[in-house]
Amino acid sequence: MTKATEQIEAKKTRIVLIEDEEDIKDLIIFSVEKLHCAVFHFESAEAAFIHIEKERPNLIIVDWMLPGMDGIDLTKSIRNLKSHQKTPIIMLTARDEQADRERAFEAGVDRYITKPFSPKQLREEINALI
Amino acid sequence: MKLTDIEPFKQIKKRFNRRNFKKRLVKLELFTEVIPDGVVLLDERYLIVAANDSAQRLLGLPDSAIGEPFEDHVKVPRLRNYMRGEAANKEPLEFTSPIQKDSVLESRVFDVDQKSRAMIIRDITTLNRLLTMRQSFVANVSHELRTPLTVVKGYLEAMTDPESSDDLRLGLIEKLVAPVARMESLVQDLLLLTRLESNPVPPDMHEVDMASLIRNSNHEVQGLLRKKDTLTIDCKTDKKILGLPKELHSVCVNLISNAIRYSPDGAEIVVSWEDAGDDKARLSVKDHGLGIAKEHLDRITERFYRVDMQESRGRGGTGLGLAIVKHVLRRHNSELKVESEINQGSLFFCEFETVERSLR
Repeated sequence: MTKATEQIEAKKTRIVLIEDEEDIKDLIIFSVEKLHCAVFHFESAEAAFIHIEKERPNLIIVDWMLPGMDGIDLTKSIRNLKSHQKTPIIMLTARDEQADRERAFEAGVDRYITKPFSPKQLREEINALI
Repeated sequence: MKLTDIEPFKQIKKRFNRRNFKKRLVKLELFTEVIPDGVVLLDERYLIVAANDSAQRLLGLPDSAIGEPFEDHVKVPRLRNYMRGEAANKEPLEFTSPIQKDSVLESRVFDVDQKSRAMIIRDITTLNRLLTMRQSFVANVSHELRTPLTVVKGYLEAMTDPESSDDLRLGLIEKLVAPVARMESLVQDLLLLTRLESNPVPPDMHEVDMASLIRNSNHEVQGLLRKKDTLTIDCKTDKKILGLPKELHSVCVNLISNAIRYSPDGAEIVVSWEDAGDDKARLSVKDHGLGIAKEHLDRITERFYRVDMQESRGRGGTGLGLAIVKHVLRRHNSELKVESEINQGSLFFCEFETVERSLR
């Protein structure tokens, strides 16, 4: 990578995506391609947390149901980091009970999108948050 | 208050002469004793006037409770409030049994006359369990359908976007194949399971050459194998059994695909068909994968039961495989057995009567 492209890459919006289902991960990456962001994908919350703590992404998209730590606990852990109290978090999940939404917002997510989702809506939400 | 002071009682008494009345009373008593629901008759001070056997059993009322305040014997505050409230058009009250914590009871209260009330108590534990099972079944099916549906819906939106190029559209069509196949398998498995459950005895059994059936199943799972995985078929006997080839094929495919899914890369899976003595033969599938903890073993054949719900969804499968296996084996007078150890692997096996024995 040349220095110029490196600088362009560095300026791109950095999105961390935590999703364990490969097909959904591909769809999300495809959906946000148009926004020209850099997507860093993780299958587990634990691995994502280490990255988030160090790299400071501009936005986080997290699934609720993950192997090991779930999306709710990850959101709480992120909000406990001083540097990430305002980092936008979108929860993208199959759970669509009202009680689930409330739990997610209590944990600290900014947007709650249920599957099946519209890629266009996801792009609009991301644009509104960054 | 005595039972004889209650208005309907007096009316019945009027209609019969003394002798018939006694007969009628005996019949009535017998009638209340045989019904499985509990009936408690209360007076205006909520003293127990009468209680049938079922009521005594469900609420733990001793014989000596007759004539005493209901609340002295049944310490359920919600039931107390319910009993004292308006009776008309009341929804039944659900409460935990005061004597058996895992039982759920339902109560209804009716006015018998101005001074007395009847309380009906019913054990709804089984009904509740069935309702919960139905709810969780629907929730599971919707959850399993939601992932492939999300993929299809997402790419369809991009395909119908006027800004998308034809090349992109063509490329996306390919991405729809896998999720549609996944939904198809789920629907097929659901229908198969329903058919197996509603029709327990197979209509006509054929002589099945298990060794070649196992080899055929081997072809079907090839697509699941990763580069380093090995699948060995070891047929030590050519014994045949009576059965339904299609169903037995689904047993083999389900057991082998599970072994692959729940093993890390480089899985070594051995499928055997061997003599089990006494005109019996044994099918077994052994892996060296993740293994299953003891506490889950009894439940793995339940529909959609996953040892780690969140982790195993990513491993594919419909969550119905072992439920199908269980039902097919039951139809073939066999039973699924499992030996497993965490991080060591699992051995799934079942025994069948061979043709010689079945024909005897």
